[in-house]
Amino acid sequence: MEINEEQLGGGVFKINLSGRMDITGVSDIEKPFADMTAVDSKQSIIVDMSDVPYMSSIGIRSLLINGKSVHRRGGKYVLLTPQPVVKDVLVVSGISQLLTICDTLEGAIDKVSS
Amino acid sequence: MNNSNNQLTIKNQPADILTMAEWLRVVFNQNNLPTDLLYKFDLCANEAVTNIISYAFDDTVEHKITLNFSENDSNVSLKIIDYGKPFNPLEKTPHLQPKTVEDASIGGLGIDLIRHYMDACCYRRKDDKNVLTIIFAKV
Repeated sequence: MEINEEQLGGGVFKINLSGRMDITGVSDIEKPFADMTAVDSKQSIIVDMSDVPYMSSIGIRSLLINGKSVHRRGGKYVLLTPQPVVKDVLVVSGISQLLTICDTLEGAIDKVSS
Repeated sequence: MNNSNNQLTIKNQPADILTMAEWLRVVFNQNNLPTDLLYKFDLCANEAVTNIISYAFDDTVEHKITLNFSENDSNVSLKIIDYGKPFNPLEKTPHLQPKTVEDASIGGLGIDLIRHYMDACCYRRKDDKNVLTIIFAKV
């Protein structure tokens, strides 16, 4: 997997994930993903899932761990445009009830900025 | 790597999960099975094999995991065989939905996904082997 980060302005950060999010994929991004979400000054984080074609429970675990870290310090953390098969896994596992999923970038920016 | 049409043997290494995914893609293509069904099997096999890699062996030696695909008029199934410690994943009780992110337990969702995406799963311990079969019923 690959990971990079963009600063969108207004204190909003977008983390872009790319590739199969399973045991091997997550091991590629685990450390940088944690580092990007662990910064206290980052209170508004969007995780762009649009380039993730596949996700197993290890991927869910990774999204949750980092979501918890941001929530714990009062920050906002949303998932952006997961592909339909990935969204289904998020719904089945109950994660869609815990983390906000946005269908548009504008909606995601509104959610993390409010 | 022992790879015949409907059987694949991999090692208990994370990198071999990609080999398994590619094998499933070829087998499903050869059998003209739809991609949404391939996705379900890819995911469930991934969950089962990830569990085996993570928990079945206490040593660091390489071990074999064997996968057998089969299809008939009524169902599509995959048998996953390992020689690790006895472990029946189906004994695990399903997760309760947590109310908040803070309450959510980390991990252990794999078997819930298998239960959801498959129509039947069965486990048996036979000759020092764990045999997990995941089955999707054709409508």
